[in-house]
Amino acid sequence: MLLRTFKRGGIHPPEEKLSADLAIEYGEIPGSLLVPVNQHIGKPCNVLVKKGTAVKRGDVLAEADGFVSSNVHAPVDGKVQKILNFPQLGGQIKECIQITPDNPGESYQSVLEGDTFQEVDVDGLDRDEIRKTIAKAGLVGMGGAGFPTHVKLSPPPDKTIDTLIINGAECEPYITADHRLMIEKSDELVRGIKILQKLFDDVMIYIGIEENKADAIETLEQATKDEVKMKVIPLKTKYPQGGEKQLIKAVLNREVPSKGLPMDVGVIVQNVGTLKAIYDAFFYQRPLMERVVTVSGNVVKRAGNILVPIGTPVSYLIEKYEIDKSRIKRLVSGGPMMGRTSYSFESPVSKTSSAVLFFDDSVYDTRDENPCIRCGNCIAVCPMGLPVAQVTEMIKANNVTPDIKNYIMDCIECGSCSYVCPADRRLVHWMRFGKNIINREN
Amino acid sequence: MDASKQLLVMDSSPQGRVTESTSKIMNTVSLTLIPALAVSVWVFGWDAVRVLALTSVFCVGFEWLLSKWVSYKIDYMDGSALLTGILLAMNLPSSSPWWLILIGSLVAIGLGKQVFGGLGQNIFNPVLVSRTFLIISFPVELSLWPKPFAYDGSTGATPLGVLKTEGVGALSGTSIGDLAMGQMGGSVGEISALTLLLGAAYLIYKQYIAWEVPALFIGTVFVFTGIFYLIDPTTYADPVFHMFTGGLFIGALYMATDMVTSPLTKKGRIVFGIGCGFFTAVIRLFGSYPEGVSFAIVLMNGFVPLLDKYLPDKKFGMVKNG
Amino acid sequence: MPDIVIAGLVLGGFALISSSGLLYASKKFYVYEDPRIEEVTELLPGANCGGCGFAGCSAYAEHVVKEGSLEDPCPVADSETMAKIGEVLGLQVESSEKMVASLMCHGTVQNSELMMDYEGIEDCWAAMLVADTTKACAFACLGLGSCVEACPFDAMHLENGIVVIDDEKCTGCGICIPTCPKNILHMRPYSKKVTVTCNNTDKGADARKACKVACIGCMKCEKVCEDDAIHVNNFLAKIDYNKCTNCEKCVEVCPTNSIQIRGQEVHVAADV
Repeated sequence: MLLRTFKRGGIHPPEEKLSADLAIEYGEIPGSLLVPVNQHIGKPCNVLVKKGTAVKRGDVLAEADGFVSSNVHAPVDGKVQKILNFPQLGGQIKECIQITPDNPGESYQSVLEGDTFQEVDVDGLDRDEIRKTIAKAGLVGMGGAGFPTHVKLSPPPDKTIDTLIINGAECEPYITADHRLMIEKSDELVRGIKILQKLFDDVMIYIGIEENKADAIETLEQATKDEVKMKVIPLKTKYPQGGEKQLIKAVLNREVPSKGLPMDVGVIVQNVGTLKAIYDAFFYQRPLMERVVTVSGNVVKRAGNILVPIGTPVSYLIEKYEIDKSRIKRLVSGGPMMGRTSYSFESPVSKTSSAVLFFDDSVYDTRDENPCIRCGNCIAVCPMGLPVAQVTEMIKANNVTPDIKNYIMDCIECGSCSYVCPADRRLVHWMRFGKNIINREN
Repeated sequence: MDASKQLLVMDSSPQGRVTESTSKIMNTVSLTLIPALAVSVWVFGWDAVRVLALTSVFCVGFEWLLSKWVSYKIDYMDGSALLTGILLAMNLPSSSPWWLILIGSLVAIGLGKQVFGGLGQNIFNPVLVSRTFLIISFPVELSLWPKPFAYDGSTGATPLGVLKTEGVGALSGTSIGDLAMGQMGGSVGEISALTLLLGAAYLIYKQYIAWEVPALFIGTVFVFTGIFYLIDPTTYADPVFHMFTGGLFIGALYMATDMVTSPLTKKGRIVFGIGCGFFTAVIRLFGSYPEGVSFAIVLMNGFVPLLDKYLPDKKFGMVKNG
Repeated sequence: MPDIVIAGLVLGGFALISSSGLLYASKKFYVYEDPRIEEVTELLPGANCGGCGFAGCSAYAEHVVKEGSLEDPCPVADSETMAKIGEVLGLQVESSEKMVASLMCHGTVQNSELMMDYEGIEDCWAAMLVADTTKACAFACLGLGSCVEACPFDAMHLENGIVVIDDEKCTGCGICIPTCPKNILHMRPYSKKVTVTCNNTDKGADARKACKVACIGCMKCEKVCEDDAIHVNNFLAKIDYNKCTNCEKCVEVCPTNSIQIRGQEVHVAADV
């Protein structure tokens, strides 16, 4: 069978899914947690606690300010130690709430088992109620961008949504968090999908999964075999298939217009991790307080997928996986293609950290930028069809014309161009720099 | 600062890259020229080696000299100067005197490449800038082509030269097989179409060169000369002869595909290939020079910025809303 | 012989026709330009730095001649030059003090520890896309030199991870101010050498942890100042240069060396 995929550009970096066959483990509650106040795109939240406040698991630490914003909850019982600015995974310095837990060292599994399951009559749910529950639970897109889920699920009335795509592509190398969720929590995911199904009239659901996750495809096909309106779509393995626009093109062959949103073509894309969180929010009344993180990279002795409370510092993972700290040169959160580097081992895991990867110099050495030899590879692989070589030259020359701006704003920063560049040009960094120039002008 | 504290690397995504590099590409291209060079040495003797050695040394030497002089950084050992040297040798007759080679190298590196700002900035292919410069400035030296297997310095015209001066009747003795293998007069590298094709096939497989350009270049020459052959076989040579003579193969496979001076997009490359073929055929059939490949490529090089600008790839999402 | 004559006639005829065309065009399309514009342009420094907000020196000259006022003076030209320009325009020019750019940070790598090995594009804004800081202090100079790149007068250079400004070369054009993503460049009068070299608004203890020469907001300078020229706001001292008299008392009293005298900087802080 000819597998579906997007046509324009794309690359196939080594997959390196070291932890694909390793079941999700449960972490322990670390000695201290740093819960970032803002883990979403949109308006910053208002902190509700102060130094010394005793918090219970699930309490709201910071409240959403306005519609495009998201609540933050206390992942454990404990006491607020301090509110401070701290470097995050990804290099930014953000406000964090430091919590000293009451029971450090307690297995997170036993904490989760304490939550009671409560059957919900999905058919009886009201649409506004669903959105409100999702908003209250502080759900954000867990694939990496962190856009508040309830906003994404509230399209303006003039847009009809006929398709919901569940993003199980996980096209980045190393990451396996979604892969494991799809295998181990397939029934939960399907129940989560059914809740979303309630939100729109007559909506068709496609679950896009790349063919390198054959077991996940099989499991989900099994789980959805009685569902008429759900279909698993196996996709050809190709990066960046997990990008919203590319995924829609691959699954439905619909093209999201430039500067447009998926809802312009009647589609909403949701990440697998988000669906699991939706399930938790409805059937356990559990807000988003934990996530599955893939721990991998070329300096780890054993890779793994681990469920940890949000706010767990990276140093906990280093200890748990017995990683030789002195060998780490790059600490990457997210996949190697789009993930960001971090400089502190104390940075906490946030709602959007799908993976924490540890690399030394042997895999990714840094080389100087050489002159462009106009090989055109960057243009050939660009999934957005941008003339990358010319655009970056113009940015470098600080000559950002309106034409160039149009190109820059369409860049999805997938990293394919930098990946293939033989002259080691930092094309994505220049593109982001170009966006920065445009932002500064406005 | 605490020396024991190790700092983590901060950089923009992506955190990985392919193992390709500029010098790796350049050196691979140079290596794929070895079979063609071997045929040249077989046909022209040690003179071919002399020309090759001189151009290589001069080109890298000039690049090194300029790297001391200019304000921007020149990596003279990245293989690009060496490749220029090798290709320049392949474009000269094996009887070229040393001073011609010296001038040719200076023009290639200086005028062809570094005046534009070095690697990647030049509009015209440096080797062909040098070759056209030499053809125009030293027409005598560049029409004395050593006879194949003569090894004694006796020279003659290239098959295309014979065609131009004596007409198609004088070509009755040449066999296409000999031409394909390279048993004809000509510059060091242009004679053996088959070995050039072999090297280029590897480059196409490695995706270092785009197949569109050589295929359309050679195809256009074939079709265009074929049309005229069909109209009047007594005046015009047959297209197969045109395909295997002169610098068409080296031009189409190694010169027109030069990354720096060919278009960035597929659409541009298609137009570029057809344009090169068209001009080559026009010059060969109607021009005063017997050979037109280098002029055609240099001419089309001039169009590359326009092709890049007006034939970009289709941007994703250029669809109507909804 | 006739050949050469014909050639001469043809060429000469061409020359005649085209030159008369040019002559006609120059008369027909003549645009009157105020001669003072050129005079003013001559007097201006000619660096085309753009510090005035115009495209270059001649654009600025055109503006001042047209407006007939020197309300926004050339930021680079000294008062003498401005007076001369005023003469050309028939205006009286008040002499104004030369301003220079000044860095509100002394977070050299010895003072504020380097936190990472930044390997991206060498530009402060580009670095800000990867991390919010390069040093322990989140307010510190990133030390990648976007301002150095922008300075048209070669008055800035990097030293020990911070930007050092040469007061003599600096013309006060102000080009560098918006190039700093950390917003730690500001203008001060040339003669006022006392500056607060910190921009950290964190609480004292946190600021001190981040940098050895951070302003901790101890208020000692505010108390010692007799001219009411220095005030601590948000744990950060700030000098009002309209009131400062260069008495240097605040410099002596500052416990962390975060108030410095330009030209006599203390490079490594005393251990407090």
